[in-house]
Amino acid sequence: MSILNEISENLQKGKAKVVKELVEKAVSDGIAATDILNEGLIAGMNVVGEKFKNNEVYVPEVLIAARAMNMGSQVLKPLLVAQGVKATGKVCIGTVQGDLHDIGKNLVKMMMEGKGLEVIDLGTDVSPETYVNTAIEQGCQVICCSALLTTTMGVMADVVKAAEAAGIRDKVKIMIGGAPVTDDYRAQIGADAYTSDAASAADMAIKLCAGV
Amino acid sequence: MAKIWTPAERAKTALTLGKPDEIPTFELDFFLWEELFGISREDPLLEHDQSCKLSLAEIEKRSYDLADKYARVYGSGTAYDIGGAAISGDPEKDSRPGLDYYIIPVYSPGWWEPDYPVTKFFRKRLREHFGDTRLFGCHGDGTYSIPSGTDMYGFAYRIADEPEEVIAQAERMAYEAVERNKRQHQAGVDVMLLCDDYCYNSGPFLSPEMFDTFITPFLTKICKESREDGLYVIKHTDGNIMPIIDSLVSAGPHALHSLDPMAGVDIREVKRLYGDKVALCGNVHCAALQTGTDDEVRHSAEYCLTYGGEGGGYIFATSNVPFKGMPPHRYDMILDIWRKMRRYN
Repeated sequence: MSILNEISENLQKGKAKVVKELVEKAVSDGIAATDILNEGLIAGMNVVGEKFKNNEVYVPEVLIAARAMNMGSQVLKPLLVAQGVKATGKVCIGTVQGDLHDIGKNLVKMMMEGKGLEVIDLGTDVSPETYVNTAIEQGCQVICCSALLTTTMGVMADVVKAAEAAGIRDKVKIMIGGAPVTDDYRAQIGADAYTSDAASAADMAIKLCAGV
Repeated sequence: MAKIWTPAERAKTALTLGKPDEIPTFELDFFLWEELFGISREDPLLEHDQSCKLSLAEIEKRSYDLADKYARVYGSGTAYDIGGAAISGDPEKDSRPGLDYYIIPVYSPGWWEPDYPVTKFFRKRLREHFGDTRLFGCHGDGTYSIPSGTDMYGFAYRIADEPEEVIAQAERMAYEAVERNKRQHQAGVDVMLLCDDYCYNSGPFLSPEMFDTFITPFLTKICKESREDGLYVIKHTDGNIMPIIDSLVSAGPHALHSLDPMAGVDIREVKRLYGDKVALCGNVHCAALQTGTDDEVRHSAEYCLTYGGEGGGYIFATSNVPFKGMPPHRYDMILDIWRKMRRYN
């Protein structure tokens, strides 16, 4: 088994220390940091994401895989920065104003980072203005809004309106998700994408960042 | 001569898989007091940090007033049948009957402390209103629920890094819950509502294997010892329970609550698979109550009464609780349907 496969396999099992050691070894063996990232770490997280989507693994397994990914990424980060390698896209994410639930939002963030996206986490109770201002200031391609409550999902419509008012609607895509949210609701408020689970959200964000 | 059932007898019969003369109803909690009855269940002066400023006589008076309001909201009469604090002053609201719950959620300030004076006075007065005709219920869980966003990482890492510690903590939590529940039983509670959530709409937080390691043995202990103590046990969790439903049933609660249709749980199917092993509560679609059409609400309530109620072992309820923001007329609508369909032929 190649060392990149080993990294992927151990990441899927959540073996953080082993992943870190393998990444360090791969670097010292002269393997390019981008290859280690894409064919080792991200490849491993992609498998975890697919299994999560199919209910073959559950949240704790995803979280410990993500921890292993972070350990490996820390080794690669200075090398990637030095090489001028950029993330595959940049998104900002938060739970909408009036809503303090962040479990779903955190899962989506984790899956997106696992896909190599740069994710700005705005936390919970995020106002429409904060989403929009962050997207402008940080150059985000996608705004991601999460809500758990039927009483707060209406804020998602305000985010769309705020993006229109700020004149960035043609530059930024808006994704929505959360237990009460549906694709019909997405169409109703004029958002760009709705996904029903964290792994699909990460796939969608990659597509939106790539302009697909 | 036909037997005359009390609401408590109907609830007990349903919880033990029997078929009473009619389908009972209750909710884990109810948050539309002001909207439907024009009265508040809040009394800040009865909270721990305030009640110490009151004389015992004042605490007794206020606790009795609160119990009168509970009797008004959860009983079957109007505000005028009770009078005093139960009267809102709005004739339309005062003249509507109460919710007629067969199990009453008893959440007076400090309810978790059976020896707190408010708890004692409140429950004494409530029993004076209802005698043994209604069951009293309160929270009684002691298992791991889905952790909040910030705690989720730490919990997952602990499961991976120190599973023995996680199990040891689960044992302590279950032991404490059992002891708490026994004290609640002595203080007049009949039904423990185990409300730790385990599932998202997509499925459980833990894998079925992890669930059987970190939850099932301890849920079983709480159910078993509570039952042995003479309590009834209703296990609630939101979300899609189907991947872990065997474990939930095997833990031995009298009933499962929520049966969340928003997560795809179909009461007809659950009844078919498990109706001879565990009673069922809930499944009336809360999202439809909030944002659906009248037809969707009607269909959900009728579906639950038809398929959940078949053969007994069912208590009519929403799939969560009537929460703030739910249109009150929608909740009234399902209660009307229940009144029309509750009788077994």
